[in-house]
Amino acid sequence: MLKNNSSALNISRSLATTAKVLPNVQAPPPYTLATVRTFPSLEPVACMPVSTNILGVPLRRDILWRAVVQENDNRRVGASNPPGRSENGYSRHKILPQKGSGNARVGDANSPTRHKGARALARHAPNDYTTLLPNKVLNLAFRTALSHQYKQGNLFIIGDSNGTAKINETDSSKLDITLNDEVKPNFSSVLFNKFMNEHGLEKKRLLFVTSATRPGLLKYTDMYKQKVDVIEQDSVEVNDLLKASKIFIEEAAFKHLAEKFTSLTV
Amino acid sequence: MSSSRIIMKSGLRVSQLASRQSQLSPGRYIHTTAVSNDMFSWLRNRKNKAPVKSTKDVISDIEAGKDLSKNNENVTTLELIPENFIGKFDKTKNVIPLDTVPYNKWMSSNKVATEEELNTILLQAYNETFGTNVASVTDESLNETFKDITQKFKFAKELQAKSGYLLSDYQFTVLLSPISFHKYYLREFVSGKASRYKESEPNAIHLTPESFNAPNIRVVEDIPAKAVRSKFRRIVKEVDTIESTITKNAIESAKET
Repeated sequence: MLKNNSSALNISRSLATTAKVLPNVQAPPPYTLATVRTFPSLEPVACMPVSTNILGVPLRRDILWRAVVQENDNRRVGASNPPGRSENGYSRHKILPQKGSGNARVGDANSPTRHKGARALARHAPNDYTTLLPNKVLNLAFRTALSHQYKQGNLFIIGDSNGTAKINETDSSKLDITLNDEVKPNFSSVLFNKFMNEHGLEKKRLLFVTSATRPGLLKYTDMYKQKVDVIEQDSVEVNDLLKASKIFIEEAAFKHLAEKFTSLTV
Repeated sequence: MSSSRIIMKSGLRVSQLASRQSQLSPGRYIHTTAVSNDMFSWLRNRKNKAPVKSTKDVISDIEAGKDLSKNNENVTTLELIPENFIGKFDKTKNVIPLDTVPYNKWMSSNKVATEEELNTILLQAYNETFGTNVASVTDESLNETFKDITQKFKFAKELQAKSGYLLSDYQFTVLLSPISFHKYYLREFVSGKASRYKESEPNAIHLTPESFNAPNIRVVEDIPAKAVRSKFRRIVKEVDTIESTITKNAIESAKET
C-alpha cells in the first residue's frame, strides 16, 4: 500500500515538473484602446479596441533603423556620370610599342591607370542606390513606429466611428477644412492656425495621414508646409512617422494601414 | 509601393506635389489667341486701325496750345487714393482675430493646477458618469476598476474636458480605476512635469529645492534662456538711456560754458 502511495507521488511530481508554470504568468493583452476624435477640436467621440499587433508592438530600434536606411537609400538619386574607357575620348592607339622602348608596357591613353584616363567602373546617371528589405521587416518597422508614437501619446485618430458618434457642427470626421473663399470673413483660412493655437502645436512637426486627397487641408496648411506634412495613406513611410511630433490619422486610413501592415506578421 | 517610390525619387514631398497639382487646376490656364497666318486678316487689321498723327502735327498742336489729354478717350487714369497704390498692404486690415473663429471648445482653457482642484474635478467627473454622490477622493468606490469601457470613456472625457489636459490613448488603456487616473494627473500635470517637458530634452531631470530635505543642499534654479536674454536686453537698454542722458547733459553744459 505504502509502495503504491509513493509511486503515485512520484507520478504527480513528474507531472508537476513537466507542466511547470511561472507564478505570475499572464497572457499579453490582445488589444489596446484608441480614442476616436474629431477635427479640429480633437474632442473624443468614441473609443475602439485595436489589436496589440498594431499599436502594442515593443520598440525595436534595430528594425526601425533598417527600414529608415532602406527608405533613405530608395530616395537617393545619383547624378554621377563618369566616362568609361569607351567614352573617354582618346584614341585606341597603343602609346608605345610592346617591346624595345625600355619602358613598361602601356596600352592606350584611356587606361584608368593613366593621368586623364577613364574611370575603371564607370556609371550612368541616374545611379541606382535602392536596397531591398523583406516585407515582413518593413511591416514590422511600420507597426513599431506607429506603436511607439501611440505609447508616447502622439497619435490621434480622427473619425466618427462609422457614423455612430455625434459630432459638433464646427467639427469634421475627416482631416479636411471646408474651402470657403467666397464667404467673408473666411474663417477657414485661419482655422488651422486656431487649431495649432488651441493645442499648443506651433513650431511642431505635424503629420496628417488622409484616406483621400483633402484640398482644403492642403490649401490652408500651405503656409506651414515647412513643418506640416499632409500625406495620403499609401505614401506614408516609417521616416514620416518617426519624424513627426504629432500624428493625425483618419480612421479609414488607420484601418487601411493596419490591414496592409499586418498581412504578413512576424 | 512603386508609385510612392517614384514620387520620392522625383525629390518632391507628396504634399508639395498635391499642392502643385491643385495650382494647375483647369480653371487657371492662361488663355492665348490662336496665331493667324492669314495675310488678308493682317491687311484688314491695318485698315481698321486709326490713323496715327505725324509728329509734326502733334508738335504744332502742342505749340498752338491744344489740350491733347481730352482727345485720349481710351486712356483711363487711376485716382491717387490709398486703395490704388500697389505694394502697400495693410496686414491688420485683413487679419481675422482667432477669438472670433467658430470652434468647438469642449476642453476647459483653465488647466488644473492644484490637488484640491483636481479632487473636485475627479469627483464631478465620477459622479456625472456613474450617477453617484461620492464626496471624497478617499472613497473606496474610486478604487474599483471600470467594468465597462463606455463608462471609462465617459469618465476620461469628462476629466479631460474639466482639467484642460489631453490624456493619451495609451494611458487611457493602462489606467484601470478612477484613483489611478487621479494619481496619474497628480504626477504628470499638477506637479508641473508636463509643462516643463521639452521635446528637445525628453529625459531632462528637473531638480527643485523641495526634492531635498538636507540643509546643506542648495539647488540653483534653472533660468530659461529666454528670461536671460530679455533681462540682458533690458539692462542694455537702461544703460543706453543713462549714457545718452549723460552725453546730452555734457553737451548742454559745454554749450553754456
